[in-house]
Amino acid sequence: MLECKNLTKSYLNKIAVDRLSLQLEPGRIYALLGPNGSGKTTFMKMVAGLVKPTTGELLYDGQPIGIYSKSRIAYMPTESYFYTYMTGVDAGKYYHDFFPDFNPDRYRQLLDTMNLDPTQKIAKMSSGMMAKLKIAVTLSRDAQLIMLDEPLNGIDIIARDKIVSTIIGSFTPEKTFILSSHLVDELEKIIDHAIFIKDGVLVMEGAAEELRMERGKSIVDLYKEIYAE
Amino acid sequence: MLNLIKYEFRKNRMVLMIIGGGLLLLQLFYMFQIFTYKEEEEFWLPMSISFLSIYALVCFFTIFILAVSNYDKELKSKSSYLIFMTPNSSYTIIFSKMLSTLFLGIATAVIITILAVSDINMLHIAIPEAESFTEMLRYILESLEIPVDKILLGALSALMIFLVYFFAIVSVVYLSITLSATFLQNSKLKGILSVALFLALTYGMGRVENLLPRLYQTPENALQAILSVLPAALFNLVVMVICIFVCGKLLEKKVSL
Repeated sequence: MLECKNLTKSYLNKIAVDRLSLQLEPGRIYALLGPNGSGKTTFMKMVAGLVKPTTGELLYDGQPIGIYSKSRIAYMPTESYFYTYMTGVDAGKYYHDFFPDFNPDRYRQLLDTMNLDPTQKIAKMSSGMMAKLKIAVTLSRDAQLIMLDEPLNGIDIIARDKIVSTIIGSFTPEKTFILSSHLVDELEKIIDHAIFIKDGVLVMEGAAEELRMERGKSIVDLYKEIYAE
Repeated sequence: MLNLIKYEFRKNRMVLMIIGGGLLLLQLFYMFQIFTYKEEEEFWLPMSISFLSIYALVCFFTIFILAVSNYDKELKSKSSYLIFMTPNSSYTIIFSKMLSTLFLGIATAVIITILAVSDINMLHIAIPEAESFTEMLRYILESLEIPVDKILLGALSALMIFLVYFFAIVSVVYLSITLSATFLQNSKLKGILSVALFLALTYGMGRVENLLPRLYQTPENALQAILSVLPAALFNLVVMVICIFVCGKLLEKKVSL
């Protein structure tokens, strides 16, 4: 489904992603793990077509990132990215206009589940409400690859369970999810596969269960081991 | 493409409403002046005509600023994700922005022309002496051997070249902004370099344009008026096409939002 070979993105004095090689298969939930600045967001942005790699190859269904991949990949950025005039209703209309796989009924249902007022201006929403709206609008697309960048950021501990169950509820065996987070303990229970990135370099990856068995540690403990150094 | 254009207008709805509101207020002020005109209070009528004339220029200038600032903001703010995440090519995105500006420019030109014609007619109806003033002006110009028809044809060719030049300049600004956000993104001097590039390109365009032949110095008819500005118009069109092509290519290969 998604394949990258020696993927590198460098900025002025920094290499954000360094020779990353990965192969992602359908029907799995991947956790992209690492502290802030480890290159998770840059990697996701490259897959979403928002950032062009400096070098390396990035293919989705055998094709370079472009119009086709953008119609099949749903990406939820970590920042607020809506126009200032937009309400929840406007955001839904926008996605409906541009993405044929957007389901307005599901969107309304998700807004309802998350207790969001669709008529409220997004710019006036709290960070928690904004995070829920971003998740609702992204998960309302029937995309093959869904990437959520820090989906639990800004969300209180009680709402987190609701978010996690919404994510699980949206998953089907044909889809692939990539979830990035530094809140590893929240993700541990739902992921199939873990990818650890440090300073843009892939340091460890594998099926979550295999990693636990091989290393005799939970994903949370592995995270602490890798990043505590 | 149509959806992209639709959202270009939607984003600018408030600014457009303010511009339209300003024009409406000045138009009402002008109408109030001509229908309540008294010879002893003749100060405000010429003022209202001046306000409307200046405001017409302000409208075009605002469209230019809007086109440029929107594109600049698009490449620098997070709301750019909304557009660049959609399954559209960079060329489609650039074209949609240029077309939105073009539609807006044409719509503004049409509205201003309709208002100007109807305002002149209203002036003649409300103040019949004004018609004789227009006739007198025509007589003075003709007695000075300045042909009014040729002035109008000259104005027509000037308007055409202004419109083409306007969009060529917008495309050059787009190119400078795109370079700043892509090729020069890692440079600390990207702001200065992109402004310098814009100045150099517009200077170069001006120099080349001066070298182009002007087929008719004083056009005798509409065809000659069009032909007289054809070389300069074609040159500006070529500049516009090259700029859009390079912008699309840069966004396709180097975008980093």
